[in-house]
Amino acid sequence: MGVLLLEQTLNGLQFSVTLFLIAAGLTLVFGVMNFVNLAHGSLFMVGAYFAAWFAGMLDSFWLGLLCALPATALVGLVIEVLVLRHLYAKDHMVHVLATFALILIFNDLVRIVWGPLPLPLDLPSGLASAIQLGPVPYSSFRLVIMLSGVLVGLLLWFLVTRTRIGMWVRAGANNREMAIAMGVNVKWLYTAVFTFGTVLSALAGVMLGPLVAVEAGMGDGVLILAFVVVVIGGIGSILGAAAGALIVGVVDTLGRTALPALLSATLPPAIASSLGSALGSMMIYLVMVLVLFWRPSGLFPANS
Amino acid sequence: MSLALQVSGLSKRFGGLEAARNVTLQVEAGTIHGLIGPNGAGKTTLISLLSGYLPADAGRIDFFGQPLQHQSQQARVRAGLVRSFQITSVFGSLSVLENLQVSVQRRRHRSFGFLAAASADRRAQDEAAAIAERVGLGQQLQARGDALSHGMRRRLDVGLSLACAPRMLLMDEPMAGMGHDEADGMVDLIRSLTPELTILLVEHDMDAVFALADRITVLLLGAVLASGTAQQIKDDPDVRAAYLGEEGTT
Amino acid sequence: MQTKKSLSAVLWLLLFVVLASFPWLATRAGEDFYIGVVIRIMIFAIAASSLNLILGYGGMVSFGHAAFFGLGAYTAGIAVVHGADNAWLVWLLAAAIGGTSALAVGYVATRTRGAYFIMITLAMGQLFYFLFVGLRQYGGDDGLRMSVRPALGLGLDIRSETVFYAVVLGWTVLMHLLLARLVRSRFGLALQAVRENEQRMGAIGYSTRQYRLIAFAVAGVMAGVAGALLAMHNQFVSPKLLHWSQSGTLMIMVVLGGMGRLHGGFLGAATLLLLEEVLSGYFSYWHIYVGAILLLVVMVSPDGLVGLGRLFRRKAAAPADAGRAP
Repeated sequence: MGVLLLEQTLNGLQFSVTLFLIAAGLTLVFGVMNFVNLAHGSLFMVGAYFAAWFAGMLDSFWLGLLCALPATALVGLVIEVLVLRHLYAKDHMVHVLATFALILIFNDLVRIVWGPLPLPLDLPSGLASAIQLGPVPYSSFRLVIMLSGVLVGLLLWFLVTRTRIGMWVRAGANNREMAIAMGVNVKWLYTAVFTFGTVLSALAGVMLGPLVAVEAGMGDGVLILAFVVVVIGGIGSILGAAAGALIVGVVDTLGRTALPALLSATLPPAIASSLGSALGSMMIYLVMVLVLFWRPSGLFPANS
Repeated sequence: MSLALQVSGLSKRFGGLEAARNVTLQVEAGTIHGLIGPNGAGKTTLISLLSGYLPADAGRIDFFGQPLQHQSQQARVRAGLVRSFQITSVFGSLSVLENLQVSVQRRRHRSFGFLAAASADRRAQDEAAAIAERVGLGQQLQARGDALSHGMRRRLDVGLSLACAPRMLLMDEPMAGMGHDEADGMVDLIRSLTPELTILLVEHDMDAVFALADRITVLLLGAVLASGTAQQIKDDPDVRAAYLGEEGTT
Repeated sequence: MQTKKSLSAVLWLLLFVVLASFPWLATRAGEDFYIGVVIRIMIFAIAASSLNLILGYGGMVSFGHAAFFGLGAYTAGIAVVHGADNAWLVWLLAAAIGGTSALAVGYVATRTRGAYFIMITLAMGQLFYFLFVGLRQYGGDDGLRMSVRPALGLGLDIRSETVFYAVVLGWTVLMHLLLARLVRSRFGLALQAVRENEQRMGAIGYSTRQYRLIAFAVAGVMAGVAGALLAMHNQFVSPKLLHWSQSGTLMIMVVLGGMGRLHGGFLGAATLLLLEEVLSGYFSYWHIYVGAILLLVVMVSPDGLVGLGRLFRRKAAAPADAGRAP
C-alpha cells in the first residue's frame, strides 16, 4: 500500500508538471489579454501529433520534439493572427464560442490529416528504463518530465520578473494604455505571449505523448483541468499556476487511484470502485468550488 | 429646518490610498449642497460611500436621523437615498418608457410578476410617463436608450433616480459633457427638484455649482478643505490656492 | 409595426400546422425516419430555449447547462428502473430535480461574475457528469437502458411514434408560450435590465442576484423536462449528455438561432441539427464544418442568424448608410 501510494504520488507530481506547462500559457493569455482560450488543449494535441509524426519519420523522439515545437508554434501564430486577435476586445462568451469552434475544427483536422487511429510515439530509447527510487522503481522518463517542468517554471519566473519582456507582459496585463504609452507594441506583444503559451502547451503534449494515446480529443480532458488550475491559482499568475497545478495534479491522481482503494477497506468492492472512481474524479471540482468560496480571486492572484 | 444628511468622520482606505479622510458634512433638507474639488479629490468615492456601493471603514451616515452606514445599497434606496452616475448609465436597449418603468415597478414591489405582460402594467407606465415628462423626455417615450443624445441620456439617468421616489439625490457630475444650452436646461431641472428633494451635487462646472448650491463643501485629497456658502468658498484663500486657481485646467 | 406582428403570427401558425401534420406527411412520403429527427429537434429546441433564457435574456454564460438536461434524462431513466410507469409523474420529477439542482448550482454560481461564473458552472456541470459516470448501478459510462416508455394514460399509446410526436409537440408549444410570457413580463423586463446594466439596477434598489437566480432555476426546470423527453424518446440515457461539450453544443444553438431573441432556441436547434443531419450524410468528418460555420458566425455577427437577417435588411433598405457600422 505504501509503495502504491508513493508511486501514485510521484505520478501525481508528474501530472502536476504537465498541467503546469499547459496552465502557464493559459494563465498568461488569460491575464495579459483577458482572453478565455479553450483551444489551448487543441494546441497540446497538435504538439503531440507533430512529435509523433516527426519522430516516426526521423526515428528519434528528441528530433521529433525539436521539430514539433516550432511547427506547433507556427500553427498557434496563424490562428492568433487570423482569428483570435480580432476577438480580444469582445465578450468572454465570444472567446468561448470561437475557441470551442476551433476545438471542433482541430479535432477533425488531425483525423483528416493523420487518420482516425492513435499515432504511436515511443519513449526515447535512453529513458525507457526505470530508476530505483528507494523502494519504488520509477520511470526515468517521467522523472525527466518533472525535471523539465521545474526548469521551465524557473525560466518563466526569471523571464516574467527579471527581464524587460516580462515587465512589458506585466504592464500589458495591468494597463494596456500605459503599456502603449511606454512604447510597447501591444499587438505583437500579445502575439508573442500567445505563441509562447502555445509552445509550452505543445511541450506538454510531446512529453505526455509516449504515456497516453496520441489521438483526437486528447487535449479536451486536460484543458478543463488546466482551467481549474488557473482559477484555483489565480488568473494571470505563474506562481498561482504552479501552486494550482500541484494541488490539482496530486489531488486528481490520488483521488482517482487511492480513493477506490481506501473505500474498498470498508465497502463491497464493486461499489467501492465505482463510487471511489466517481468521487475521485469529482474531487478536484469540489476543491475548486471551495477555493473560490474562500478566495474568490484564487490563491495567488496577479496584482491588478 | 431638519437635517437630511449628517456625515461624521467618514473614512475609506484602498490599500495605501486614503480615498476619504474623516469627512464631515451636513445637508439641510430641501437644499442643494455642492461638492467640489480637483480630480482625484475623492468626490465619486464619497458618493459611492454614501449610496452604499462601497462600505466605509469608519464614520457615521445619518439620513433624516436614521443611521445608514451599515445598510446595504438596496436598503438606502428604500430609505430614500438615491444616486445617479458620472458616466451615463441607462438601459440602452430599452425604450425611455421601459427604462423608467423598470425603476417604477421595483418601487411598487411588482417586479416578480411572471406571466402578465409588462406592457399591461398601466399604472407603472403612467407613472413612468409622468416622470419622463418631468425630466423633459415626454416626447421621447419610445426612443431607445442608446439612441438618445448625450444630454437626453443624462436626463433619463435623473429620471431613473426620480422613479425611486427619493428624498435625497446624490448627483455625480450631471452636467458632464454637456454643451452650454444643455447644461442650462439641466440647471433648471435640478433647481426644479427642490425643495421637495434634497440634493448633493458633485460638479466641475463652476458656474452651475455657484448658481445652484446653497452651501458648498470643498474636498482635497479625500479630506474636507472648506465648507460654507458659495460666497464664503469663493473668498476662501485656501480654496483659491488649491482649487479655484486651477479652474483653467478643469 | 402591427402588420409585422400579424405577419409573424401568421408565419408561426403556419409552422405549427406544418409541424402538426408532419408525421402524416412523412408517413405518406415513406420517410418515417424523419419523424424521429423532428422529435429530436423539438426536444433540443426546448433545451436550447432554456439556455437562451439565462444566456440571451439573463446575460449569464453558463457552461454547465447540459447538466440539468442530463439530470432530467437520468431522472426519467432511474425512475423507470425503479418501476415508474407514469409519464406525468416522470415529467414532474424531472422538472423538480432540474429546478432544485439549478437553484443549488445557481446559488453558488451567482456569487460570481464573468470568467469565474463560466468556470464555476463548467466545474459543477463536470461534477454531475462524473457522478453519473461513476454510478455503475445505473449504467455508468455505458449508459442506462429504459425498458419501457412511461405511459401517458388518456387512452393513448405513447409507444406509438405519432402519439409521442404529438406529446413532444405539445410540450414544445407550451414551453415556448411560457417563455414568451416570461420574457415580456415585469420579471422579464427586470431581468433584461439586469443583463444590460447590473450596476445601475443595484443603484435603483434592485437585489439583482435574486433575478438571475430565479431565471437560472426556471431554465433548470425547462431543461429537466426536455431531458426526460429525450430519455423517453431514445429509451436510453448516457452520461455524455452532461458533458461540457454538450453544454457547448447548446450554446452554439443559442448563438446560431439568436441570443435574446424569443425564437432563438428553436431556430438554433433546428439549424444545427439539420446541418448535422445533412453534413454527416456527405462527410465522415463533419464537425470541422460545424466549427467553421460557428467561427464565421461569431466573427461576423454575434447576434446569431436572426441578427444576420437584420443586418441584410438594414443594408438593403438604406444603401446610403451601408458605409456606416450597423
